[in-house]
Amino acid sequence: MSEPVVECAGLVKYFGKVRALDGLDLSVAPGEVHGFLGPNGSGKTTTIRILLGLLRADGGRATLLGGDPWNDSVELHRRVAYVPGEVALWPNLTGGEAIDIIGRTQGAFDEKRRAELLERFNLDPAKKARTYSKGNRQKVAIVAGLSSDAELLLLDEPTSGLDPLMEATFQHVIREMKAEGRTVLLSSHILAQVEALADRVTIIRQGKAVESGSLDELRHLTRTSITVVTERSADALAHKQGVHSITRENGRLHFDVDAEHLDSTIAYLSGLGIRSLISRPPTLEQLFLRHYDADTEGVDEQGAAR
Amino acid sequence: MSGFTGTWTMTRLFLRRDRVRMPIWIVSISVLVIASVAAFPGLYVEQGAIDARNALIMGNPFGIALTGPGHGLDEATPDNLGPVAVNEMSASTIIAMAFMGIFLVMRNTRGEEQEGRLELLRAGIVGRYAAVTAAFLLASLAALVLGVLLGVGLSGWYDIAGSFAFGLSMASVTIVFAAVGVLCAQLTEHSRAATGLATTTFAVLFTVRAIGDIRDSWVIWLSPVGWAQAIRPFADERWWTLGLTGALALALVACAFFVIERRDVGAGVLPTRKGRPRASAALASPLGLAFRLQRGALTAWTVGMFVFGATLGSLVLEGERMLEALGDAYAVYFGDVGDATLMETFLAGYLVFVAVTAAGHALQAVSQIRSEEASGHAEAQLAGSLGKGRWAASHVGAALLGNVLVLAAAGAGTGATYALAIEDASQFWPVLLAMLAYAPAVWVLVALAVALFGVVPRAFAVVWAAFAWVVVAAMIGPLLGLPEWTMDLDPFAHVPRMPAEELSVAPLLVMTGISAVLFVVGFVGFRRRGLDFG
Repeated sequence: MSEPVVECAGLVKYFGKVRALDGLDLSVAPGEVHGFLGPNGSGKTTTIRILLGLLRADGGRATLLGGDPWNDSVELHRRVAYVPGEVALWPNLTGGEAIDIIGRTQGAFDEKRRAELLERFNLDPAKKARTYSKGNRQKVAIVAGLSSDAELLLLDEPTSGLDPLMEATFQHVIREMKAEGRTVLLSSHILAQVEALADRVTIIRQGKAVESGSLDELRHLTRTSITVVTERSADALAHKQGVHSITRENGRLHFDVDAEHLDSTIAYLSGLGIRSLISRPPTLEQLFLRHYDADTEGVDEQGAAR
Repeated sequence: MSGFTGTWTMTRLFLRRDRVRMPIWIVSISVLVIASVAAFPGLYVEQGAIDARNALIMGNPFGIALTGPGHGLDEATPDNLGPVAVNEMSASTIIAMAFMGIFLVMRNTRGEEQEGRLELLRAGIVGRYAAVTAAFLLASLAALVLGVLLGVGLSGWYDIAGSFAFGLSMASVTIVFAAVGVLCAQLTEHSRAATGLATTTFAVLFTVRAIGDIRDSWVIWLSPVGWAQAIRPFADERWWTLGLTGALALALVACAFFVIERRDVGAGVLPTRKGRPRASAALASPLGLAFRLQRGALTAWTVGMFVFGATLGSLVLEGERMLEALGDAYAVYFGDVGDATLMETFLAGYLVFVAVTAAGHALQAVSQIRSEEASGHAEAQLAGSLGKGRWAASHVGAALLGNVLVLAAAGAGTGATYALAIEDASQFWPVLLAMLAYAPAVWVLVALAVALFGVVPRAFAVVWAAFAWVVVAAMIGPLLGLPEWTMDLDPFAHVPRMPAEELSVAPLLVMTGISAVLFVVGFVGFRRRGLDFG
């Protein structure tokens, strides 16, 4: 793999006394869609704002497209597009005007794509921004951000407020952009979205990356859900290593099994005569919950969400 | 310099945003100033009138504080009224234009940043300095256009060089305060606080200049307001003072750049305190919330108006000394003042200014009712068990109660220093009463605001036009020679001029009645209409 497009090492950011980023590591390879997952206030937005040169890091190193996000911000922004999760528009300007204003400040604004995206997202650009719903304001940001030919897209919870239909359209558009060879950093807490789009994922908690890798790699870290019916009783399964939360229902057995014990467990079941077997891969949801169990508390939301 | 990349784009955006606002500032200020100046030739036909006016104004500290150094007044004749026009107009023009400069830049700098729109733009190809530079350039452009208009306007009656010296010095002081605004916008997180910081800076520098002029000392050189007046229009102009103001403006903008280079977008430099995690019991009531939302502003107004009043009251002693030296000249200007002492007449005259300023507080406070509705905050509250009437009454009540406090603070400040100056403690109460007597006049304005809110919420801003009219009527109304009935529209003109006049209750009751009617109209209108988020 060539040079990473985004590289953060040991990134630290304070808001007052709150340590919003606590030594964050993040690496995004060219051409990939990189999911950036974390609960509210974990530091996703702060990281993206540092990458955009809007905030100054207090420690660590951040590199964007080989440049320094703070010092080279203007040059870098020619090659970057940004879609924020919360959009403030000029209330007395129309959505179309806002798109052009934001678009004018970005590199290589593509008129054809602007028209196409307006059509696909079903947005009326002639309405004043104050009359837009949350979803429609978000569409303005999406159309403005994605109309540019930027090689790197920084998307910060880009579909908040969109309906499922528009969510599907958004995923479609992102896949096309990926096919064009662009790189995407997608911050989100919608697991289904990341699961559908991302090649690799970084999970962040309290300003630190706690897990990073491809979805496949991460799945190894978690459990597969299995539903099985066997000829002979599988009661001894409860004593097998790596098997969890067994329940029985109408002769069917449900349980979860750790990735490293999957093979031996299936071999054992096979010996009992399998009549039917359903196996579900671990979802990101489970991955996520494992890291955000009830005992964890996000970083002070106000501090990190600024 | 990549920091400036995108300045042109920003300039176009701000021009688009301000395409109505900027011309309104420029046209209204230039029309007012030029119309006033045009009145002077008709007013001062005889040398005696000019001499009396000059002696009176320059012979008392209030006069000097509210005008200026009076360069060239000694040579003023009916054919050479330029120095009189400058003396009469420069202070009010400086006040109006400094506010224009501060408001124009604040809206496009910290205002945009606070709303989160700057972040969106800065994520594009827009340098760190672009927005600030564009906002400053636009305000400077507005100042220069206005300055040239004043120059052209005045030269219709007076010498060209002096006219342009006046216009350009006014523009230069505007540019300085635009730069002050730009710097303040970097320091605090919220634009309201930044505006407060900038206007306070202006008030301090204006006062420094006033002290310098009253003492006729070098102190004027500590304030850019003093530099602007030191250009001496119509009196052997010193053009180099424009260089001083220009250099200061650039230095201030450079300081702003210095701060921008070191801070996060959205953040300030001055600390913001952490709030409470729970609402206090008082906040649970709508009135408590209405008060809480304006707590900061109310505190600032109360303190500010106390100091304003105290400053005026404290000038009395110095004024009396000067007036004794003056002899009978004042009678020419003031006419018969009856039984009242001259100091009482003066004091009564200046209390109007204080009252009109305090009305600014009441309108700012009551306009919260409209901003709470438009921003959607009202919706969240009204979706619960709270009724519309009670919600509206809470905001109006908070504005009215708060304003009584502001008026009382102003009256107490004035009364205290006045009583000290004349060494008669019993005089404190009449001054306080005189100040509070303006409350019904303030109510008329507030009630107009409520009526607009209830019936035509989108036209709410009309109340500011009404306020502007009251300011004009109070400050230069008589000069403009407007028809009697238009002056009668100003509620402040109907308040008895205590302590020079006796207290007469009838006009106060009439104004209270008018307010009550307008309040009812507003409340009924609001009850009948749906929420408006325009």
